[in-house]
Amino acid sequence: MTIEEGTLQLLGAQQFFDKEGTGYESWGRVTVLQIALRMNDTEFLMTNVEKTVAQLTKDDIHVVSKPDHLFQQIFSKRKKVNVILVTSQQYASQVKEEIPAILDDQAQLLGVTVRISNPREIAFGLKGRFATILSDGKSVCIGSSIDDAYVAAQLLEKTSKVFLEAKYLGGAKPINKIEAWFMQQYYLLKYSKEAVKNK
Amino acid sequence: MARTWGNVSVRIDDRHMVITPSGRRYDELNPSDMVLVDFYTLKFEGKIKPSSELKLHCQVYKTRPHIQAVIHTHQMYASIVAAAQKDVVVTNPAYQQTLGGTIIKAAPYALPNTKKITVETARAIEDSNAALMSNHGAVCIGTSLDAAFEVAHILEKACEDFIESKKRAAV
Repeated sequence: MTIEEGTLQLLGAQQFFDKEGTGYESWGRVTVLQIALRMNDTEFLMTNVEKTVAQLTKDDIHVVSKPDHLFQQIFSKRKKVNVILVTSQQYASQVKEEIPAILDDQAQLLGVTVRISNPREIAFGLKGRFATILSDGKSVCIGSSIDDAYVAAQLLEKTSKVFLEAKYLGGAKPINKIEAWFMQQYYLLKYSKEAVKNK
Repeated sequence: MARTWGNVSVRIDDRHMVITPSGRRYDELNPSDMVLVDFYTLKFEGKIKPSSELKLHCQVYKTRPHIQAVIHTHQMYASIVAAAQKDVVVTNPAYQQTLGGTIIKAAPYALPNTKKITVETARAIEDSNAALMSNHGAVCIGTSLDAAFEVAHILEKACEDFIESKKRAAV
């Protein structure tokens, strides 16, 4: 992908989020605050955090060689991650404790738990995971593409709502951690590849 | 039903169903992508693999001869109750009629695509038109595809009512 192609992708991101968010209103609200896109090992596109994704113009997208510490940690530790989304989410922002695996699709796509992370140690918070809730209430969701990272954000929102609302029913019952890990591996190694083959 | 989550099937005859393919987005599907499956042998036609949950669909068609459509969803409010592993108490008489009972059972947790999830979910839906799959989602059945979708729609309302009643009780 060229810098120009990456810039175009970021400029079209809000339209993509609006389209993909349609039909998910009952899951809660996901607002993407900032996007970081890996172009190669030394160049990254960063959106202006002062602007909403919908307001972005070409001038709000910058090529940087050394992103801020939060992004740098993730890009250096997770070589298959090309996109980082910083989000503000209706239900995820209300979660104050680690969420165990409570849904099969959560285990498959997000990992064995969702951690509450300190931004300075976000690589740990995301270890083996694709979403984390920051201690300030924002969330960070990652993926190999904008689509994958946005799915993680949507699923984080669904998981958070299930976790919070199930408390009124006596609480969500966690899935065994080993089974959750097994499901994630199955998804990463087999199911997602099978989906590509089935196209 | 969204992205690639969940699956839908329709009975063709006493031995066959068509089911949505594995891992494909609903908004990109064409009629030719649907997979014809023999629900006694699980053999399917063509190169496209059927949904990984096909065994559950097959089990329903084998045990409930009048059922013409099966939908497996990951819908929001059913997922909340399923994560709590609770049966849904249905109080609205109109909902009871559509759902085919006053209690919608939650099948015990089992890993996806296993014999256990098939057997337990089929058992949970024996006496009604819907069942929850613990920590997973829901399965809804009907005498037509429209009827099965209506069951899914009403199940969502019944689950929301059930949660709201617990919230009120907690105040």
